[in-house]
Amino acid sequence: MINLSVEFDIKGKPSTLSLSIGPQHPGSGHFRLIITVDGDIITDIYPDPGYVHRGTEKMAEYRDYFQNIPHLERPIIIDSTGITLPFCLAIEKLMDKEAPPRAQYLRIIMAELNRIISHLYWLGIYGPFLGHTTMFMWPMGDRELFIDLAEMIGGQRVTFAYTIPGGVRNDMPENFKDKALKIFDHFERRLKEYDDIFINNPITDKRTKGIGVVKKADAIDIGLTGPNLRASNVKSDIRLDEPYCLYDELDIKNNIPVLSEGDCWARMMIRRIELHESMEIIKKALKRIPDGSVKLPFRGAVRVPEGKIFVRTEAARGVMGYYLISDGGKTPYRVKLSVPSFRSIPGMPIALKNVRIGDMPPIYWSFDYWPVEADK
Amino acid sequence: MSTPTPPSNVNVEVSIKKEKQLVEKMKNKLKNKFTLDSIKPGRINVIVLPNNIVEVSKVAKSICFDQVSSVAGTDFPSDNEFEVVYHVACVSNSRYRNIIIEISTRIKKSETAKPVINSLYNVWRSCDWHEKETHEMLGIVFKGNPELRRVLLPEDWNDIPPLRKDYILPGR
Repeated sequence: MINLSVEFDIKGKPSTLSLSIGPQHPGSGHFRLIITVDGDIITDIYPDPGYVHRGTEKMAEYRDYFQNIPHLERPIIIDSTGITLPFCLAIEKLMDKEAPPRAQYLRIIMAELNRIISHLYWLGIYGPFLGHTTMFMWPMGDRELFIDLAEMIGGQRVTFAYTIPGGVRNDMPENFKDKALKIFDHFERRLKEYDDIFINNPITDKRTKGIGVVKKADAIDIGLTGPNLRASNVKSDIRLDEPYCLYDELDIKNNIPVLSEGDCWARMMIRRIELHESMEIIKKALKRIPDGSVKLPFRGAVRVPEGKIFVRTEAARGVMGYYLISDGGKTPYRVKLSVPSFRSIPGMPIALKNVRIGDMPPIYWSFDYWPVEADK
Repeated sequence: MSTPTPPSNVNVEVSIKKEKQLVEKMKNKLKNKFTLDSIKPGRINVIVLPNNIVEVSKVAKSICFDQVSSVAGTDFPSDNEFEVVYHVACVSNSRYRNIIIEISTRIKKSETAKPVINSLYNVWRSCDWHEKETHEMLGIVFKGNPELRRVLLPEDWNDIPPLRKDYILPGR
């Protein structure tokens, strides 16, 4: 099926060559791209995922709804609220219940913190992909501050399993607000330093501007989502389009960045701007968060009535969708995950076509492709 | 303690006005090629026969539903059927961005032949990889998909497709 070969032209000299890039960790996890090059121009791209498939959907059918929370966050632990939140919303909708308002706000705060944590991880890898090792150390170091904040609420550093059916596990501590605002002030100053050393760096410009362009029509057609879609001039964000968790009370219309270039630079800038905007959204949420309980009094295993539902939310990488079928039993009958990373795979052949092989790493990582999430 | 008041019917009617208009548009073009299963705020669920799925999808695309969010296959051994649902979102038109059309169809299982359904690749390119995944996880053949290859399972996997209900996880 996969043909790694050298083709020869009429004079007997090799003209094109197939190369296997990966699956040994080209930045984020195990994934392989098989490319054909003519000289150093990539002419053909064949994405080959599946190296970290573990059957998340099948295993979810063997666990009850509460056990599924820590199970379902495994595919993308750096955005664990992003992947568990829609599952909880789906359960609540099937049960025709709603989490208390304070829980909804806490979910927003945690989801946005996770977006920052995830984007900083992405930025930390994007630096070395462009040969900039300082940009590995700074975001990874500053990410710790946000992990500390998440730990204050969730009790764990990365996999907090914080959202549960009917609300969230616990309330936030009283000193969270002060500490968060202090860290946000510090990080705003840091972001300016990021801009000076990396984002506005002429080398970054040269390596990313006009490289790996995905046009608006293509981006819609092949199914890109989230920041990758917004970088191609489509203002599509589930937080705006189909608000969940009281996002509609926060007036976040101006907190959703959109750029028109569709290249690596635009995909990088969307995430850079979202680092700032997510902090703004958390500030708004902290101002408005009401008092009250943080979860519905569920006891023991949750019984979800028979039914099917499709729920989607905006995770760090884009639209996270769940199709949940319940037959009224203790465990779900079917859990179908529609994850954003899987949807960015067809973007790579378009962005990588006819570019130089040296531009492959910046293009590949500009999609923020997370193999474990895509493989489920 | 006062009990929460249920939402009045008037509000529900208003909140699904756009959805009803879309269904009317589809009905005008398709007559009785589909059955409306349910209509809720933001969700239109239509049931089609496998033979009509391409035609219904083309009409859905013509009313601006341009991106497939997910293709979900499910095994129903009690009915001896597979269900395939396409969740289609509208991205380019901000008016309908909150709506998802769910096009669902059922394929009969047979002892001898593989389940086959027409691919919607020629309507929406975005369903390509979702169809590949459904193909390997449930063994459903999407006729017309240009490349139904294995994407997630190991290369040496020789058991039945794992998301079928008769595949039991080892040790369970």
